[in-house]
Amino acid sequence: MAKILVIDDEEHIREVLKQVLERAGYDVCCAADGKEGLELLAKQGADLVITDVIMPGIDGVATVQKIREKFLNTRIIVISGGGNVAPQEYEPGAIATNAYLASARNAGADRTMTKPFDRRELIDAINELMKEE
Amino acid sequence: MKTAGTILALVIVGCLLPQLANAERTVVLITSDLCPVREISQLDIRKAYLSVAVNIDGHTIRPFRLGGDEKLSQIFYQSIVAMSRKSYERRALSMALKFGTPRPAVFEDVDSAADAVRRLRCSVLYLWKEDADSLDGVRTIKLLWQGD
Amino acid sequence: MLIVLLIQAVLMPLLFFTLAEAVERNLANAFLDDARLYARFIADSIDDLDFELGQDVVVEHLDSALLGGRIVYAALVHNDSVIASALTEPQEFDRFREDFEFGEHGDETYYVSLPVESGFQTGILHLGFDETPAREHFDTVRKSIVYALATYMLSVLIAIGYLSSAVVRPLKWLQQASRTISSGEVDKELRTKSSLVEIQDLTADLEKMRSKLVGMNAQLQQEIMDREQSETERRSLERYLRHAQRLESLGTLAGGVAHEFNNVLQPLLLYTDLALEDLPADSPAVENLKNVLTLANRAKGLSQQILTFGRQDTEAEFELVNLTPVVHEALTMIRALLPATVDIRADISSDIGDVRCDPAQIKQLLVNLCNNSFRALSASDGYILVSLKEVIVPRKLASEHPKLRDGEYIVLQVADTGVGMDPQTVERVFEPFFTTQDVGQGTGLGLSVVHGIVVRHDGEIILESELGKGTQVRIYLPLADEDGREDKGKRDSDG
Repeated sequence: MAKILVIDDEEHIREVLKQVLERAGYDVCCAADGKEGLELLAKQGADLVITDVIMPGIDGVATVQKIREKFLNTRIIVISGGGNVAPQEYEPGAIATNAYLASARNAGADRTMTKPFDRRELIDAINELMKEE
Repeated sequence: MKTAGTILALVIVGCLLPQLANAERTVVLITSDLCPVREISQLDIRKAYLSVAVNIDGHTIRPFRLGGDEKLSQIFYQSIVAMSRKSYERRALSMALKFGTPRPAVFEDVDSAADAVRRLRCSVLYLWKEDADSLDGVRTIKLLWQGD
Repeated sequence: MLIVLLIQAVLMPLLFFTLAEAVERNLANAFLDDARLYARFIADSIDDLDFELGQDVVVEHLDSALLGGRIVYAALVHNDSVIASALTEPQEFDRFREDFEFGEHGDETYYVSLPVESGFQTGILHLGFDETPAREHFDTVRKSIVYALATYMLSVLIAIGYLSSAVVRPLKWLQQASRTISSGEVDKELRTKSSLVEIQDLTADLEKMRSKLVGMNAQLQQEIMDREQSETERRSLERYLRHAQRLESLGTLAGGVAHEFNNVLQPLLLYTDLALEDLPADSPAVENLKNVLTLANRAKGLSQQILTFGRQDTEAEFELVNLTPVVHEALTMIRALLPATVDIRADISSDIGDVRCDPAQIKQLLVNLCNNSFRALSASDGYILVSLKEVIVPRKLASEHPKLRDGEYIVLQVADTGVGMDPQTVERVFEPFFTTQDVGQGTGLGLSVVHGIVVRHDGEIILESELGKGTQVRIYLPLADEDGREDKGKRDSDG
């Protein structure tokens, strides 16, 4: 069973993501900030990390960098409350990229998603990333 | 009364008449009785009154003038020196300067003039005949003018 | 001048009479001298002639005297008898009156009588001298005097005329000119036709003063204008800054709120989704939960718009783009989005330069604007006109809108013939959450989004609207220069 690490400072987000992912058949653990997340990664490892970028403590992009440095194989999905992804196809209402998200991508994130996303979006993205292995 | 008035009026008119009528008058040249000069020519008279030294028979003729009578003066200029007043003034002065003899003395009244004539032998004076007639010690030597 | 003339008018007769009299007196005197002397000579010549026996000789002398013409009467009175010249006019002797003054008795003859002697005879010689030549002489002299005085008068008049035109009139004119100048009219140059150096100098000095005044005036005016100009610029800059600040703070606020909002929405959506999954399809709760989901999604849409408004983007995603195809694409989309009954017209130029931009945002911008226009139109018939062209921004426009530098820009305009807006609305139109739409219809975010996009593209947006007539929104985007960078050159050089 694949392991997913969720890093977000918002408790409800951790909780709901945990539920959703477990229903989808993944093994989920959570961390409240970048530091805790890195420790957990070091201890238990994970196949995929879902992390918020705007959090107190370590800057989200730095977290991504650190993860990428140490865990080359781990997929990273960066979620953000402050911006949208450049869509694959044009959607009315879609806006340009967030510079922050861009730098997260530069730092090594595989995908970026904007909150709030729905279940389908998330599961599809994860499946895709897992398949690429 | 009326008659007296008329007579008075007539008398007054009679007295005035001579004044009203143009009386003929005469201007004569007189000199002292003592002066031996009997005759003098018009030219000499003119010369004397223009300050030119005139000498007749060794006697110096001195000219005197009478002032104060306008008509007399006019006759003097017209008939005696034969020039205008202005010209005479100028002439007399320049002649006096030229010949050195003084200008004719002017007397204000007949008496002082007559006195001078009597004192200065062979001085001459022109005046009205009536005035001349009232003087003594003088003699008329020329008729200078007659008219009215 | 008039006084001079008056004085002349008084002096002339005075002078005339004085002169005439002086001359006449002298002439009269001369006449008297002549007459008297002549009379004396004739008397001298008759002196010593025999009046009684030599009458003929006397008459000869008398005739000779008359021949000259100056003597018109010659007679010798002697003892009441008269020996007269044959050439003489007969005369009444009792009425004979001697003259001592020229013109006396008014008979035009000057009578002199002198006594003549011959021996012991005495007679009176009467001579009459013609006064008329002398009279004529007087008249000639009078006339000469009159002519002389008239000439003098004339020259005075000429002098006055000359003075008047050469001096008085220029002076008056100068006086008038200086009055005009002091009253503020400094435009006319001062030049004099006078030939007098003094007048010319005076005019030159006054002219110097005037041109200095004009210069100072112009300088002052220029300064005032510059000051007004910079005042206007300053004010519009202030206004813009205030606006921008307001928008920015609102944006920051909105951004912060939206971020938290999303963090709330995310679990909300997912929890509801999970709950729906757990419930049997016929459960009564399903319906309600579905509603919750719908509303949550709506909230999501809202937050997306808010976030767009509040964000800062780098130019990293911007590309060098020719907007012509971008606008065409957007129009295609817009025509699809809006009802077919809407009259959408286009005036798209292909002859335009490239712009550094994000095409997606530009399309977004167009969509929002057309949406607004569409809503404005629904109350009346009309059309939407989308136009695209390249322009050179005039200095005046640039001074009114600080974000515009004078130079080359792309203008993208969306104009409609809809209901328009009043000035108060126009003032607030870019504020987030400001809407004229009914509750539930508009979010009030459309134009603030547009504004944000324009700002990020280093452009300017100008909105003009008139109630009942319609609205035009013009977006100015700077042309990229040859190196692909934005044309910042002009702004830097303006400093």
